[in-house]
Formats: sequence, C-alpha cells, structure tokens
Amino acid sequence: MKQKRLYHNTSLCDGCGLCQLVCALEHCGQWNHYQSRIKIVNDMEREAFYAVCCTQCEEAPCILTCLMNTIYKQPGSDITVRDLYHCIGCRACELACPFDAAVFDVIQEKVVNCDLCGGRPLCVEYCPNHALTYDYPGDQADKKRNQAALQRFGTSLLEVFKFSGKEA
Amino acid sequence: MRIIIIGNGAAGNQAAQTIQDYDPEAEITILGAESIPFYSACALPDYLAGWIKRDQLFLRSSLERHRVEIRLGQAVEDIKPDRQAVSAGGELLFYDRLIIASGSRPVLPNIPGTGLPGNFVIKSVYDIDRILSHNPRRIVVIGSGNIGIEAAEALASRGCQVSIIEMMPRIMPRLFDEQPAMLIRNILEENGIEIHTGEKAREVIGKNKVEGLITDCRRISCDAVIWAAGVRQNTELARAAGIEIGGLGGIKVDSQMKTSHPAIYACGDCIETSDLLTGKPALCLLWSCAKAQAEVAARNCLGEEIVYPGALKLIAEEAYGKPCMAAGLLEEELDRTGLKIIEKETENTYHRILIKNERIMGIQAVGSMEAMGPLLYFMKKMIAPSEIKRIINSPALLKNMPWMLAIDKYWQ
Repeated sequence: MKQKRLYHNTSLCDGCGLCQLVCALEHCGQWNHYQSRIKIVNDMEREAFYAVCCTQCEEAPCILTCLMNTIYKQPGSDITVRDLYHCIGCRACELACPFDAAVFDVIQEKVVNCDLCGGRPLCVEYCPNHALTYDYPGDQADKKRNQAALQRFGTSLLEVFKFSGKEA
Repeated sequence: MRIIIIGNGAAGNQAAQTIQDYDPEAEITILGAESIPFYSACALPDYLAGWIKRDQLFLRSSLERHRVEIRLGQAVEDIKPDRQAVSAGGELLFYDRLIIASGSRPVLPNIPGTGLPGNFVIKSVYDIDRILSHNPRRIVVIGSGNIGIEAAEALASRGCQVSIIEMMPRIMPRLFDEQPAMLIRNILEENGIEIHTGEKAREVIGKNKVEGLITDCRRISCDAVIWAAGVRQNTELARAAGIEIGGLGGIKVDSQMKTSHPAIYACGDCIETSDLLTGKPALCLLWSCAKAQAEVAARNCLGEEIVYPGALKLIAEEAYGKPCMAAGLLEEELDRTGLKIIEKETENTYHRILIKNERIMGIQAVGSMEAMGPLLYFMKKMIAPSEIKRIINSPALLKNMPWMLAIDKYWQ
C-alpha cells in the first residue's frame, strides 16, 4: 500500500526549529528539542538546513538489529513502528540506523523513531514556512516536475504536455 | 513444502517468520527443547537487575498459529538425512527442508567444585530464576565478555558485592582494544565492582554449597559463582547425522547457509560463517547476525538464491550509563603492516578507528554513540576515508559527529 511520507524542502526552511519543539511536546510533553524525533541540522557551508527523520526504510536495518523484536512494519502499511513495552533501551537500533534517525528518549529510556503522528504529523501543521509536507511519494515527484516546468516554461507541466501534443 | 526448524530462539523464529512472509503455503514446525515460549536472551541481565519484568522477556511474535506448529519441550533425538526425517518425542517427522538453529550453551571448565549448588550460568530464563531464588550477596563472575560485564553490573545494582575474574590481561578481550577496555574498567571500578585480570579460576570450594573460589593468586569467599567464560555450539545432532563440522567448532555452511547435506540448512549460534571484513571463517554469536543468517537460510530454503555477505561483529553496551560500542576487528587481529590507528580522546568520550588499505576495519567508542550509524555503514560498504571526506564536506556536520573529529587527523 502506498503510504504518505514526510518531505522537507530545504530552500524554504529557515531552521526555526518549531517542528522539533512541537514534536517533543506531542510525544513527551516537554518543550525541549533534544526529545524530538525530527532533527534539523544546520549545514553552514552549503547554507542550508536539513531535516533528519526516520525514512521508513523498506528493508530497515533497525528491525534486524533489535534484540527484543520490538520494531516491525505496521501491518497493512510500510511504517516502521515500535512496541515500546518490550524495549530495554539497549540502543542497538540507534547504532544501526544509517541516517542517525533513531532517537534515544531520555525520559522513557527507550529508543523511538518518527511514527508520523498516526497520519497527521504535527510538524507539518506547525511549520510556518511550509517547508515540511506530508505527501504521497508520487505526488511529491509530480509537484517537483511541475515546479521545474513552471520555472523553465512559465506554465504547469500539464500545459507543457498539451503544447507538445503528448498525453500527460 | 514441509519445513522443520530445530530451535525456538532468535534464528528459529526469524526463519519461520521469513518463510511465512515469502511462502504462504509452507508448513512449518518449530521444535524447541525448552518448554517456554520465545524470549530474548539479550535482556536476561536486565531481568536479573530488575529493570524489566519477567513477562517483558517474552517477545511479540506474529507467527500465525494455524500455519506454524510450535512444539515446545520436545528435544530432537536424531536427524535421519537419508530418510529426510527427524525423530522428536518418539515420533518421526518428515521434512522437505530442515533448518538447524540449535544455538549454543555455556561452557564450564573442568575444575573441582563446579557441581556444587551456587554455580550458575546465564543462558535461559530458568538460570536467572535460579539465581534470584538463591539470593546471593557476594558473587564472583568468571569471564568478562559482554554477558559477564552485564551480569556484574546487574547484580551490583541489586546490592551484591561483585568481583570479576578474567583470564586475559584486560577485560572484554575479544571486543575492545587495550585503551578502551581500560576506560570501561575504570568506570566499573569506580562503581564498586572488583576486577582481577590475568587470573584463572582453579577451584570452587565449599561443603554443601559454594563458599569460595580459589584462583591463581587469591582466595575469594563468595556464595555464588557465575560462569560467563564463553559458549560452545550445539553441534552434537548435526555431527551424529554426518553433517560436516568446521575447524572452529561450528556447523560448516556455505554463503547460502547450506550445510554439507543438500536439504539441510543451518543458521544462528551453531554455525561458523565468514567474516565480512576479512572473509576468513569466524564465529559470530550475536542476535543480529543470527537474525540475518536466518533470513538468508529461510529464503534459500524456498528456492531463492540469496548470499550472506558475512558476519560483522557489533556490540553496543552500556556501562553505568556510559554507552560503549565496538564493531569490526581488533588491533591484534589485524596485520601490523599498513595499519593506522586513529584515536581521539576528550573528557567524556573516546573514539578509536582502525584503518588499513584505505578501509575502515574496526571502530570502538566509549562514552558517546552519537552518529556512529553512518560510520558503521561506511565500514560495511568499504568506503575509503578519503571518500567519506568528499561525502561529508561540511564543518557543521563535522561538529555533529564526534568521530569525525577523530578521523579528521587522518586526512591531514
């Protein structure tokens, strides 16, 4: 099943960190960006902000590494979820994650990852610059194409296809 | 297809899970010698310390009961490869494919007194129950692998007085090099655990129960001895069935987890595989390796051709709140020629990276595990350090990754 994902537009982000605070408040009740499941990294050389967040890998290394089999793919979708009851906080998944996106929650003493807030991510809702979006992977690609078409030809992609006589 | 899995541990369950995911029609039977459901052996020290409850040990399983038959408390008596059958509980069960995941067992040395009550191992839930009901106050842990260290810390947190006896000159000799091992030793000793290295246990003394332990150079009075001095593969079944055993004592398998017999596969603690970094035969008795091997074995069983790349040693440990990790090889396991050791020590953290022939061969860290995941992947994918610099060419990212400060020296 196709699942919506989080997307971050680097050119719109100004690194205010509101998404981190909202995330921490929602999941741990703390106004503290260390507890956030999404991290904003400041790359000063390229003058950009990147969002680091669980990418919901298809073959997730954290699932194989987990000592307690707490991490699994949600049946019916492809979201990586955790059953925190069994988690012993060994941090093996934190080590295995190639994106450094598993976060150690110091209050619960367990490792957590982004759960997309059950389908309504608060970080997207609160992002003041609309840099974060929650979209289907295909839709996101279409939007990017449209944007490129808009920049190059001044019209949307649909119009470009009409003009060139091709089916969109 | 009828598939029989011997062993109800991490590898056995992962194999059943994979078969269930890939082939909905396969009939799976799991034969477990212990009569308790699937639990995590890695969390046993946490249970010993009382940090988790007993029911938290038993793991979530998404095996469907109508397709997977789990027979607990039924040890396999023997395997008959020529008839494609195993006998368990006086019954003959036929298979098309057999997966052996019989695991390992702790070894007790052949010295006097190990039969007295008060000698324990840490392998199953029952062992922990026995230790808890014995309620010891003064304990000697023999062996300082990760099980030994974790058990010592767990018992110390219960208020027991704990001593560790290690035969080698440093603690965790198979996991860490000398300097990081020294740092971990200091952390443990600061918290009141007594450590004696370079000593060998000679005798357990006592009349009706354990009263003390005699080593090469001292006598320690104690009321319990915990043996954490290594494990041995359970290969008796395979050996009796005529399956080839490797030089290191595990069942010999090829890269597809196939044994010398075509319809029999093996995975988990009981096999010997090759090392990911050197390609030499190696034993890898770790949970994550067992799961990866089980997945490969299960898929090959169903007719796919998947190759297991090799085992990578990866240990994550917490010593009194300080995260420690080790991956890959040690300094002494590598050839000296062309070996570069990068060390970076700050007040709270220590990083050590071993580089040989432009490849990262080993990583050890004490005090910080931040951003180690990417470095681990650079090691797994064999990316040269110069290439890493090209990929992460930003001072800001460098600041976020403590190990980058260490590897920075190498670039200059």
